[in-house]
Amino acid sequence: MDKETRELDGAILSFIAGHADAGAAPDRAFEALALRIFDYQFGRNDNYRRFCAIEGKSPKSVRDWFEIPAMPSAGFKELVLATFPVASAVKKFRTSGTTRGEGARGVHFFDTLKLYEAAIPPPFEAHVLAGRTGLRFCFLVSAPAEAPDSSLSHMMGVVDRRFAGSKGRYYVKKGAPLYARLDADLRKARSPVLILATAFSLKGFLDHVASKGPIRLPEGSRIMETGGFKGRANEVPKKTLYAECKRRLGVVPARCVSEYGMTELSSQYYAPAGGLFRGPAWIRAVAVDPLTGRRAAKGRRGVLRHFDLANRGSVLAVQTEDLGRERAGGFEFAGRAKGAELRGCSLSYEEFLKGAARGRG
Amino acid sequence: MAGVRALLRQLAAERARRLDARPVRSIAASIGRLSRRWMNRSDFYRKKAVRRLVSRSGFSEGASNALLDSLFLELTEKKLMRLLRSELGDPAVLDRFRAAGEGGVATRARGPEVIFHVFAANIPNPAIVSFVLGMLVKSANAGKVSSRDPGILDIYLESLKRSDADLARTNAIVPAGPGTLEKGCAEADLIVAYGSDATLDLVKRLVPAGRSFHGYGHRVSFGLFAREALTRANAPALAKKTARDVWMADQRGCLSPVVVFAQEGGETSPAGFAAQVAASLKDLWRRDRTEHDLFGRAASIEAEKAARAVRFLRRRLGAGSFWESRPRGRWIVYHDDAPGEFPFSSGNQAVHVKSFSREEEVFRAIAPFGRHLQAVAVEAGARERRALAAKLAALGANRVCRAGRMQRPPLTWHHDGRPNLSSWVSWTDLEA
Repeated sequence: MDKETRELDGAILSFIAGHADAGAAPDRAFEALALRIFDYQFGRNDNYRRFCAIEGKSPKSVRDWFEIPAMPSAGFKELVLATFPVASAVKKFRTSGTTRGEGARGVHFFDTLKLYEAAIPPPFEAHVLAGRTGLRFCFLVSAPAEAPDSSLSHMMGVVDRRFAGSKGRYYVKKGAPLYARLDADLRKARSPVLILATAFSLKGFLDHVASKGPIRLPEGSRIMETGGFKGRANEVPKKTLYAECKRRLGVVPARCVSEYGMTELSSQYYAPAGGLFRGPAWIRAVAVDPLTGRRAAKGRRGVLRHFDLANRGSVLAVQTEDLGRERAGGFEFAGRAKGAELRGCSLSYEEFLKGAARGRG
Repeated sequence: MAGVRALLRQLAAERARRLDARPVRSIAASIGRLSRRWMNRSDFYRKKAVRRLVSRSGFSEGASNALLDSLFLELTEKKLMRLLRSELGDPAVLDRFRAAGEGGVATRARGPEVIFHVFAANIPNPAIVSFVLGMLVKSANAGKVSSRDPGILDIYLESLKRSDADLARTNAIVPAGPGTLEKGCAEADLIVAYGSDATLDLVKRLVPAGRSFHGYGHRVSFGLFAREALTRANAPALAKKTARDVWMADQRGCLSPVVVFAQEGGETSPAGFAAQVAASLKDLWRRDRTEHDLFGRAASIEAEKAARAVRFLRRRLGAGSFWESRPRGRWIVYHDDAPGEFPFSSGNQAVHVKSFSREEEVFRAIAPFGRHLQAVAVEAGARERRALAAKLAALGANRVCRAGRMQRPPLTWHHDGRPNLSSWVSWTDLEA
């Protein structure tokens, strides 16, 4: 690793350390570091530089942090987005498969996991543990060793080591959820537990519990779920999910925390008790009004764009297809952009591919 | 509510009672009269249909009216009779045996007793045309509409009830529910389905042996303008027509031109032409300001724009340029010189103008679509236009038309490349 990179990482790490407990960082500090990272990425990430050229922006023209060109998350699927030769990557995280199938999974390359792993614990401790210690961790996700390219599993491994003495248990084996085992273990639990799951698998588990009869988890137990619902047909509103957590597990919504993370990012947001999503000081979300292309006024709906200072090795600004509203101190998630729902009889790309795959194109 | 099978049997009985002895001309005349009513913009049912198309199907009010005009201008008595003549020779074969030329053989044609039509969420016109064709061959029609977007077939049938109660009794929309598809297919003599390949495959599997099935699939259409058509004098009018083709079906129809290939070297450059298309779209929208869910449309255009930029980056292609409405969400025109990057419809009035220099580039780009090709608006010199049409026909395109006419196929068009009525009827020959 060269000197410039080491120095930049040092600056980011000290930003993280310096704001680990605090709420938001001063605008000026965030902006200075964001523009420095942008300059670095513009110089080293070829595809990103070419993307910036399309947007007509460069470090010379960008003055505000939220003007930094945001790479669409689709870019991770089609382009190599790294500030280093990917042959030297120490880690590759892949996005989960979408409707377009395996071939179109996005990849996030890392030349070091130092920033990534430094970014995880502070907000996790603040929002998920919220001062609790001694919780037993039950992961309803694959163990990191089983899913080496899953950023969620990796993150679970990090919090397991850091906060649970590596004693957490994983209840997804070879891709299959072990609902019965988790059910049995939870019924035996005498001290508070923390269940960490994707919303989708949590729903599956709650349905399983429903067939067995409710569980009363020990007082102080908590639940963290993360938006594993993207692209799934049977989306369940958060309210319903939390109501079921209370009814079936005895965990009240105040002890449930929603996580918002993306493979394309290094930092996470948390929404305790279904409230606003709040991130640590080194990540910020902006809602962009698609009608104007400019930042939406606070409280107005827009498409979410993230600026993550820990994303040094790829692109710090990522454009999502998630909708949300900026609020004081965080953002509110408002679903996925759904404009494409109106369909007609025009051939779609997916259909064409399928036809071609069957040799009928 | 009666079960699906009972409903279809009842329709068959009504058909026998009311249509067997009714002259086909009287049916065509009745449908034609009803079309005249629908052409009136203050007609009760027409207004109701426009409201539905705006609120449920997401079309603008102007486009809804244009779609309805283009539909009912085709469903006149004269044109219906012309269609019958073109497909069956003598329309009266549907009424009785008619002498069929030499040899003293007389022939008679019969439509299926009951046709079961399966409609996907779609632009509204094909459903109504499908029922009208069924009525023309004196069949009873049962339709299954999409629950997501039911179209306006029910409103049309309501209006038919008022104008021709007899005919209306032979048509119905089947109630939605589990097993509707299976029961409908089991009871009908002909099954006609519209939708994606997956939908058509699904329906086809339900058709009992010995019954007929016709599937109308999802298709792709485009424009192909040679440099002779892009003169300074002609280009603005051509842009206006193109914009109309784009605007009318919101780029969601199988007749919507998702791409326009414009040849370099004309008096107006492809980029200049793209700018003219944008100006024409702007103009159309100035008069048509329905803005339901502009936010959702804008968000989806943004995502599409981003995906396109990424795709072009990956292929190391110049990204070209684009023109878009302000506020965003109404329409967008892209221009680039990568004819090989064939885009797919994202709806939202998005059209791609692509420069090309030699026609081989275009044919290479569209070759993979083969049987999925539908209409091509070709503008070129007369001789070249014919030559291009021959090549397009060889590839599988089933309609070569003029710009501005894409959304107005004549009733006689071989939809999906096949005759319509004549493939639905069966014949009896009477030898002397």
